[in-house]
Amino acid sequence: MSKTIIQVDQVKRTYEVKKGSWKKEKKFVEAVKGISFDVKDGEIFGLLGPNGAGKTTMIKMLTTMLIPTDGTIEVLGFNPVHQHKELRPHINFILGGERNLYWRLSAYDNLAYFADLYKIPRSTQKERIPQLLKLVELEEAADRRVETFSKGMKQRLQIARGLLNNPKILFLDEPSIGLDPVSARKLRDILRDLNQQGTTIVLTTHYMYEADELCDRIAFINHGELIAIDTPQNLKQRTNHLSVIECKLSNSTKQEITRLLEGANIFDFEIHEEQNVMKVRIPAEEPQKVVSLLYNLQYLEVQDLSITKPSLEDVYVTMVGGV
Amino acid sequence: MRGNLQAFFKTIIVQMKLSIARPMFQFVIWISPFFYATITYFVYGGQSPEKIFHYVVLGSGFMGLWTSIVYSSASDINRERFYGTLENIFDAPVSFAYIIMGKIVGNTIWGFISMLLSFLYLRFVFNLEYPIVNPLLIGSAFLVVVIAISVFAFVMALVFTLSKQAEVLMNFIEYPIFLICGFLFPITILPTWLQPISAILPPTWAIELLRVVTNNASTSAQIVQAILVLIGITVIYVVIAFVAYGAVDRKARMDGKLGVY
Repeated sequence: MSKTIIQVDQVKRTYEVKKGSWKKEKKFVEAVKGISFDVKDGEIFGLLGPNGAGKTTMIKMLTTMLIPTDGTIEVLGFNPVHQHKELRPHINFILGGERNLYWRLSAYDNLAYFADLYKIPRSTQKERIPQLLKLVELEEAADRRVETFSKGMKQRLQIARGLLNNPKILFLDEPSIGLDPVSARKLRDILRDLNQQGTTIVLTTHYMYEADELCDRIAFINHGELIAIDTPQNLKQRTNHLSVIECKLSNSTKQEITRLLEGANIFDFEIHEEQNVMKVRIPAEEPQKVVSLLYNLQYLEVQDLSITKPSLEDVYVTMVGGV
Repeated sequence: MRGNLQAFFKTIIVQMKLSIARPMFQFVIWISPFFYATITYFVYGGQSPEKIFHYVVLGSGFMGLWTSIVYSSASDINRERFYGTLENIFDAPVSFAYIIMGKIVGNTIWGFISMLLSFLYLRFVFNLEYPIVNPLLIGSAFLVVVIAISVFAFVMALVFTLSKQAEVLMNFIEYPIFLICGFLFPITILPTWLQPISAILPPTWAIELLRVVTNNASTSAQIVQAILVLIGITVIYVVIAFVAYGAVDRKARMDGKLGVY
């Protein structure tokens, strides 16, 4: 059994918000409401939840950026509130998006500067920076200014920056946000390789496929509260009683399909229009009954019908979305 | 300690590169000294060579220096916020204090280059006479001035670390300091109620020290007094900086707004 390297116990975080431009009124918003969990050494741990759920706040508290209002946190045996100086050399973090880099410096200069900020000896830097540039496939662009980089290249450079100090734990806040599928896959490959080399990874993401593919365990957070925490497989089993019917319906509009399904007492469904064909997704406990209902609905032409098990997204929607 | 110093010196280089890459900063360093120098020369045109040196050469040079200092302590912190790098540098293992000081020193070097340009411009375009001074004395005075101004800028930078309105504050303090600290005239002509404010600001005593050491009529006692006053006020600001740094470090982590632009 791997040892616990992150321990979060009943952590709360409240922000003070000022409202009004003339007579300012103080309000307190509770972003995290008493969350507890742990992360094991060598895990890829995912924090999932909708916008404003408290994921970024949690990452910032774990990385010493924020002080919790209440509760205790221990990362690698250090308290991030009082022992931040001792903890910082052993961790690193990557905040999603294109920022967090000096655009007017080259990729190499960015890494060299941050390496100095992590007190990495120059002799080590000379070896590590080219290695990292190679890892993120930016060795050809090492001397180019970051402002000329694509979004994917900037994200990859951020990964390299996050690995400069060879961190024991790497925190990533929505690392693949805005990336094209190829760049997102490259990023996942890099993270998987890093994890295999022993780096513990804690990440937040909105992409369920990414979380399902990468994470050993996932915590669902909503409105600052922990909804569920388990392996992706176990989470999916929680909705094992459900099946998902997917099919294409032609000769009808979205409104007509909605009316017909609701007329047949089917209220839980999603409809997406794709090239004049309506793709319908219906979670159901008794799929055969729904299928026969679908085939019996007049005017609807049913194509490519399949019955599958729920995906992580279905679990997420069920748990977080309250479907 | 070695790691902190390595980061400090690298920050100076990175800051100098980043600053001079911006057209606005290029204007501040290469162009504005000529405007400051020309305007002050015509204001003081008919005065004695000594007065012209103290208020035109030193005054306009100091204006350029101050502008670049203000840019380093306020605008650059805000710029880090905009780049999204403020959280990265604040949470790096190297103390944030070394990073701020590196930024200030980087921009101060540019400020002295701007000051030097102003000196050369006034010397060769307007044929101004410069006093002959002891190089060791003027070198030491400049060193004390750099330290005093940097410590003052550090305290300002701490305030701006917490404030999203840093740029507004920067614009607010740039010109009042020209006036209150007597860059272009003796502070004795300011209203009496304003003079105590001048007295608590290090730039007032920094330019005063340079005026004293470049005045051939100054006695040794006057020079020592000017140096001690500047060192004294700098020590007070070092204490303020030390106490404020701990408070700002904690408050920034309490507020969690370093990444908010």
